[in-house]
Amino acid sequence: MTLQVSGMLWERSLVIRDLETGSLWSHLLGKCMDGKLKGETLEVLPGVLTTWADWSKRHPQTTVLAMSRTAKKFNEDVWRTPKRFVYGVPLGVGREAPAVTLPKLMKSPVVGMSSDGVALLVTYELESKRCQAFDPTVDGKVLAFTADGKGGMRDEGSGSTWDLVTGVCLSGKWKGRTLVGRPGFISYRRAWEVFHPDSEIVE
Amino acid sequence: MSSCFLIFSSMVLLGASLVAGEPEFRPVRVVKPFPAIQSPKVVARGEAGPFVRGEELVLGVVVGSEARAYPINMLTNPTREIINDKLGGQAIAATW
Repeated sequence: MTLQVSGMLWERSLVIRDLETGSLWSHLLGKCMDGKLKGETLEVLPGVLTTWADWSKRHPQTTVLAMSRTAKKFNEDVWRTPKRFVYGVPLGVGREAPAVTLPKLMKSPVVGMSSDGVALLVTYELESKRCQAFDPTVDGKVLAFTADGKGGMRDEGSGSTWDLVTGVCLSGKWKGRTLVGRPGFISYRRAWEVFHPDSEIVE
Repeated sequence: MSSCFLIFSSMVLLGASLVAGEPEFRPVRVVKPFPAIQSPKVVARGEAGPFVRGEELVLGVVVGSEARAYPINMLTNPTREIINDKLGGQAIAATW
């Protein structure tokens, strides 16, 4: 499927058009809203919004897009007015996705929550500006995490320390285990609320 | 105006249902469609110097064994909101 910017907006949000069938898709919902493929969805891959410095350090073999710049300094907007943004966590087709506000994450960088019966963990790393979602279940047990005050996190049951970006347990009972990451994405809060009116927003 | 970043697999997943509470689909045309950007130029990390600075935000993704970053400062124009690409053998679309 080849996707183009359709030139249309729905509730001020991007409408995507695929070249193959001319169907129209909602960007934020990832769902085909009109045309031959109506009702189909696109799979959300685990993209990460973070600094180039942190990404290239973690992925030394990475390539990077090399097009002309369209802005001098966009990143300032997201972090200057964080209250305009949320980090949303899709739960799957037909399920309402919860979200956490950026101000909440900047204040409490380890947030455990449960939505529609699904246990979730959302973390925020200050220097890389990276939000990350995880499944906090290990061996069938839902672990409860808190920030350890040193840039990492701890699970309350065993006191093991974990890396809140990679989900790897660094020491303690669960050493060597890795939490399964979940896709999530940053969205303007206003747009999120329009498309997910029943979403639980943690703030 | 784009509202969020998302990286999609360009393979369509079957099955979906209308979630209660979703607004009715009523798109409004603003401009003509923009040409689809497909497999644009990418460089290796070692050659990234002229293109992106360390403190700048990127949209990063790993598919299979391949990692790629899309600097937000290349995506802030409506013509750049969707990048069709291929990574780790998979067709993907990076969107902003």
